[in-house]
Amino acid sequence: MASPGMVDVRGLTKRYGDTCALEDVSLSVAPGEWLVVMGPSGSGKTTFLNIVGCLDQPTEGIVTVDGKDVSHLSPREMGRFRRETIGLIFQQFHLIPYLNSLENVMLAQYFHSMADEAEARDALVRVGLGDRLRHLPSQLSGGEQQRVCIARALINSPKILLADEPSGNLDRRNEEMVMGLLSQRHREGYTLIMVTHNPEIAQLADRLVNFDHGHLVSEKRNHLGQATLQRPG
Amino acid sequence: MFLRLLKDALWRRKGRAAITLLCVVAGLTLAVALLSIAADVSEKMSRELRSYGANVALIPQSEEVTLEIGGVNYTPPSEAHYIDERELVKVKTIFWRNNILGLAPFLGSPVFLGPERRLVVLTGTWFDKELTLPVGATIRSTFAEQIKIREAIAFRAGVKSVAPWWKVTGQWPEEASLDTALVGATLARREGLRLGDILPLEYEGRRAQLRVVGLLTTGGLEDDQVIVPLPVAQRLLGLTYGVNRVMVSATVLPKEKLASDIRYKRPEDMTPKEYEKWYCSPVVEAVAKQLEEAIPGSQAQPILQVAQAEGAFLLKLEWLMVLITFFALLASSLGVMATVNTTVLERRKEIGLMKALGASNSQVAALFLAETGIIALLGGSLGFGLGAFLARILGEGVFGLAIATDLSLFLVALLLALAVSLVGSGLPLRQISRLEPVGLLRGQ
Repeated sequence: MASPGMVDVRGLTKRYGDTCALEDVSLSVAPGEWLVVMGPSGSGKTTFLNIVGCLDQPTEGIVTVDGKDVSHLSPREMGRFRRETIGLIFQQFHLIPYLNSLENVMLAQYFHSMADEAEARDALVRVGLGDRLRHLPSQLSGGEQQRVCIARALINSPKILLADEPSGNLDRRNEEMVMGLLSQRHREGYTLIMVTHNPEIAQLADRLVNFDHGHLVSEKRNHLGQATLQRPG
Repeated sequence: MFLRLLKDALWRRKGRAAITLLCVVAGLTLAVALLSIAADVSEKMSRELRSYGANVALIPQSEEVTLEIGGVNYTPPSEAHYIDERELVKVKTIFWRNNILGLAPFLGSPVFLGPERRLVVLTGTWFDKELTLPVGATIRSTFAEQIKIREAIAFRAGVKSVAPWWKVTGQWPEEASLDTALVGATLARREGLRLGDILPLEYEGRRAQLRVVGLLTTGGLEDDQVIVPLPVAQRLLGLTYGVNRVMVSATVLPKEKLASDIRYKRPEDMTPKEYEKWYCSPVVEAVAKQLEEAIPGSQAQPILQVAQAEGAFLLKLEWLMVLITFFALLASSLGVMATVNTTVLERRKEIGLMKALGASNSQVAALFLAETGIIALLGGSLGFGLGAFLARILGEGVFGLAIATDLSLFLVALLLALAVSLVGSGLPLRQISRLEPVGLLRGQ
């Protein structure tokens, strides 16, 4: 009998009215695995990520994260589970514009348990933003904002990191930097599920799944896992 | 972190916070002003209403039927009973003595005018006389206790204190004068009397020659009477110190203000404890009872139509104030609701992010509540100050009363302001609890 995955999805279906965003999707993600989800726009990959991240609920099917069935949790339980177990990284960064880098990281601590400035500072130093602690998001580049977002996602030591196109709004140099950070977290043992359109990034992951029209259409194990992104030329 | 978020929310939305503050201040100003007035108005309006006439009549105690028409006793003096005017100073010995604003004795009788012996009504009274309760007099200090006073109590009595609407053209007669009179305007017109004329009056062989010093207009029966200082009437009617009616003006509260267990109970049906409670309440019946006890040979009759009309008026006034206060606070809450609602809409993306990071509804709601709470406390304080000022202006301008706002209302103002902000935040907070992070992060 296979060991239980960090994420187990069985028969997952999600409908919005008449629109079926996901249909009968089943897959597992092992602890420490890096899974990349690809597919064209509207294929259901972000919906998949939202359901695994307890931001949304399935219409049908069972979703188990870290051994807990999260398919039918109340909004309050989903919130609690999210802050204890999941770290979210967004394409749009979603930083609070009037809080500086340090405070944006501390905000996640505050909602989790208690804000700790020293710990938040360490998290920002680890993502290379030791000199940008008091900068507002508007004073940071896109890559720096995404690194603040990564520091915020990691600050409560989540069991799983979910990233929705984390480098979608970044230039090549920042993309490399962000992917380097995520690869490092993966090497440290984090389970990582990432949505991306970029096949180069997909090469970094352990496994790649493709969605199309709400269906899981293909799955590929990547033997080049742990490669690094190389700048062309 | 919480304080940091709070400070930013208030600082960055100064305009919105200012509108919320304005809503709270407007509601609280009106509420504090009306509550201040309502707290003071019963007693002060009751005092004000006293200018519309006496509310207790004292008549001689008698088992015989007296013949009285239009307030004038037609019973022959030899057969009638009287109240001794010297006892009237004792109105200041009763428990509610400070509520007695005025009194005036009356002695009325038909007399003959001139050689044609036309019948006219003569009324003797005090116009503005000083009375003094001497040192050592006994006054009631509590229901069961009486004490002797160490300082004399002086006060003024007379028609000027119970009927301020009496209008005299010419002069008021001197209190001690024995040959001056006021003539009612109607009588003067009918008899062709003018200022300075001599009125020859006669009663059972006793005669008086009185000089008309003033023409009186009251709009009542006095317009057809001759009004004289009390000693003039007593001498003509052959009496010493007797009066046949005393009108007393006292500030009282409506019966509806009594405790419910004694409100509609007759004093004779009350337990001793209930009777004590009733006796020490400033309702017209209790004041009348005490006057009756204080003035020997008198029988007190509350003028119920006056007392009840006043009571009803004061209660309606209070209710009106409470209603206006309620609607002012409701309007204030709606204003707060509109601005908080707009703030929630503006910050929905931020709220979505907080929820995505695991914030509970109560954590997000606490931020909004603290924000409106701070505005409410500030608004409550400002509203208290402005309300006290408005109460003073309204009191002087509308009621002609000096109204002081009780400092204890400050706490009430703060609590009301918090209630306004809580009610105003209710619906927006409900909206917060319904916001789903997934939609908000997508910008939906």
